[in-house]
Amino acid sequence: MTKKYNLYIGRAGQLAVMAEFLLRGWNVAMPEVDIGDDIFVVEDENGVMKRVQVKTSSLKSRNNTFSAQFQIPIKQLQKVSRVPIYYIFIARRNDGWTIPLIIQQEELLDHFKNFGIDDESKRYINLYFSYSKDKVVCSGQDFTKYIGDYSDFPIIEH
Amino acid sequence: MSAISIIVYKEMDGFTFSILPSVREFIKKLFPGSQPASRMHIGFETASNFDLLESGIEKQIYPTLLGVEKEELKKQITDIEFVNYQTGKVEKIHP
Repeated sequence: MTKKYNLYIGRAGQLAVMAEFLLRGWNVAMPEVDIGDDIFVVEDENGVMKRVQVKTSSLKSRNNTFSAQFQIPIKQLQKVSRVPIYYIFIARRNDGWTIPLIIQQEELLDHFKNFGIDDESKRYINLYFSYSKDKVVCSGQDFTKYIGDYSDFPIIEH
Repeated sequence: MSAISIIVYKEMDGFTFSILPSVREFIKKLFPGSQPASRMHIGFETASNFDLLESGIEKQIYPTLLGVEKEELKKQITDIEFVNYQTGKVEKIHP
């Protein structure tokens, strides 16, 4: 896969996630300058805003399972501001997307809090997702509960 | 006796203090009935020239963020670490 294709699939994943938020009644916006956040997701009625980072990958097939790799900047993960980030992981498989895994920043940091803390040279965490029937394992930890977890983004009726 | 970590993050207009979900669960188990929050924010109006150790503001953070009064905390927790990933600084406080 070329670097250029990665850009295309990354943007496609971001737009797919934005479309899903719109269908759930949340407004979306993309920052003009890319400094980390991919999408701002807003509840129009009261201005509640959530920050979303979309991570996109292609699925690789292995026996009856599929795997995908994602990269997270450690510094970004550790910056727990008053508006935490939601990480959304989606992967492309044949002609469709996997159901997004939605993980709030503090939850993800909790899983990998000891990673690279003592090693300044480590700038990224590589996450390896393994998809099997109804189950997702990430670097040895069960991430199944995050599949399609829109609990912090309930459907808004307009 | 145990130790817990509070993450400190300095923003343009104040500080955000947060605890990870595992710490929240740990506190709930240690202090049944407690209602720890995920995070709290203190604006600069109340924390200007903020120095954690000198300000004594941690006394207000305990009941609000951890959902436990200092006196109760002292019985079960030996150290509270304030971890600032921006600076790499860890300040240890005995409650």
